[in-house]
Amino acid sequence: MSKVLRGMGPKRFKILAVEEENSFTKTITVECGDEARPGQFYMVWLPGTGQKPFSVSASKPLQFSIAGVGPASNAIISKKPGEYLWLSGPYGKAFKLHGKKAVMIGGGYGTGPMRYLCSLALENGIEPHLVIGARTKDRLMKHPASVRTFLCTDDGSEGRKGFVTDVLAEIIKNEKIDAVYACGPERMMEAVGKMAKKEGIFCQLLLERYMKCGFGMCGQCSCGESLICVDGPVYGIEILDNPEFGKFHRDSSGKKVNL
Amino acid sequence: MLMVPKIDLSVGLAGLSLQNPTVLASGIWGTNANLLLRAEKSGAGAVTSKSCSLNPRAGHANPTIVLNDHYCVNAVGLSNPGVELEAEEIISAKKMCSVPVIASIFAHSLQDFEAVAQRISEARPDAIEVNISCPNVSNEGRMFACSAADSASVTVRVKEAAGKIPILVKLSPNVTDIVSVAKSVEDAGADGIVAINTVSGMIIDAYARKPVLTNKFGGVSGPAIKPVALKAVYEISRAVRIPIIGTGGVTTGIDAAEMLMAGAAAVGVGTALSYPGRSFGAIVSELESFMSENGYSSIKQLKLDE
Repeated sequence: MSKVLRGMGPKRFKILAVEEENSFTKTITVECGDEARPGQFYMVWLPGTGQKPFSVSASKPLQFSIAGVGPASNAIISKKPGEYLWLSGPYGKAFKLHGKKAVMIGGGYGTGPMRYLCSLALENGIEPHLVIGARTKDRLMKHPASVRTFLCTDDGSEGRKGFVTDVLAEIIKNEKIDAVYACGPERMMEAVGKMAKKEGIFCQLLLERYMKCGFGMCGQCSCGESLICVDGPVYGIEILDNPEFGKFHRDSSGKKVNL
Repeated sequence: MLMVPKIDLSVGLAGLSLQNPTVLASGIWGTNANLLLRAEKSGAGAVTSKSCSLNPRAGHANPTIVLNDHYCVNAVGLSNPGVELEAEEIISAKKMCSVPVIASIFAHSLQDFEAVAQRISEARPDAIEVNISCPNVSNEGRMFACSAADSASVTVRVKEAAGKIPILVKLSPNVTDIVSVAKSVEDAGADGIVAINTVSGMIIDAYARKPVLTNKFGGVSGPAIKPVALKAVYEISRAVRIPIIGTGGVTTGIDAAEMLMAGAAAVGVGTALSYPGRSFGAIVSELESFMSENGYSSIKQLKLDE
């Protein structure tokens, strides 16, 4: 049997830094030298509190941008440098760089992996455009100065009032774009995917589902016949044909819940 | 021209016909019809859904599963959407899959077992697996599988509710005498046995000074439990006439051959699917190569030389 195993862990790593992105989201840097690519994720365990999957927003050292949405995520982002987190991973498939000019679209805390993909694009001679969307100004994540960035909020409290797809449509109209990537609410990604498909542009989307194991055993994260944790979480445009994509996910009992 | 004997991988058990002896074990993937189809496409000879109960269950909080090279420990906690929704998944699975679909059920009382069996029978699965042996809900009462008499009582009730649908009773290794439980469910009318469920266990993180699983205890599966499973299957097969789906640690085609030699009629596969390069197709093709290289032409010929 192969000695490479995806499911080792959890292993303890020291927290090096905790930076505020906005009032809901923090970016945690841990002393872990893993080479994890944008799109991949770890199961992050805080003993006594819980364990959740989080996408990496940088590696060497590893970073996670985490929004406080429940008891586990809030406990994790209230940790301080010098304290510890327990990680299993990296799991899942990463984004693939493509072409010469790309648009990265992050909705809410989905901005973390998109930001990471932008920096990888720059290293590889690809020109990234970063589009960040959020409900309101106080939910926008930070963006790197080195990347051309478009901000939009649902209420217009910062940047443009409207949706990331409006910005994408404009960029596509004005420039030749080779690839579009998105991470955020599934309905938003569905709209992005449809637009890219119509324009014949290479496109990848990062999906999110309730997960127990992270390595293809429990079946909780299924989307149609696909298991998000091993077949994804990054999917090409073919995910638009998946009967469950953009429609519903499954709760902890396995019951279908509308998105 | 030299005639190469064709290898027949098919097996029959409890009225089911399988193209090959591998069976998706309950609890892995089988949360819905799409994933049962995924197992069929991976090459499974039959598929088992995740055990369902009368009412929906969210299961335990994470961490629920830890995997390493040698074993997996899980305390998922039998999460399932409840028999009403599960019956719909079984109906879909029956339409989508061409391999036999085994519906797994569990309950905490005889009445509930009967109710779940009745409801799931309406979905017409090819067989019903009666899970009396999950170790991860021990706080909710003693496992039926701990007692030969209790196991028999469940078997009688489910058998009656299931009518003509064959029932396979899943046994626990966490008992003093698994053979007496096996004999008892056979006498009570079981059409087959699935052995073994996971071995009760625990993992602790020394740095955290805490049990890793939120449930503290879990079920051990994977390569490490193969010897435990082989002995159980060996002993049970010599004590009963009904067929056994030998389950526990089978990761390669050679493991499958060993399980069949121990006395299993078919082989359950679960944890193996999470290891790199493992699939039903890989296990079946390794088994086929082993048989071809060693002069076997049918599964029945895989017997111990003793």
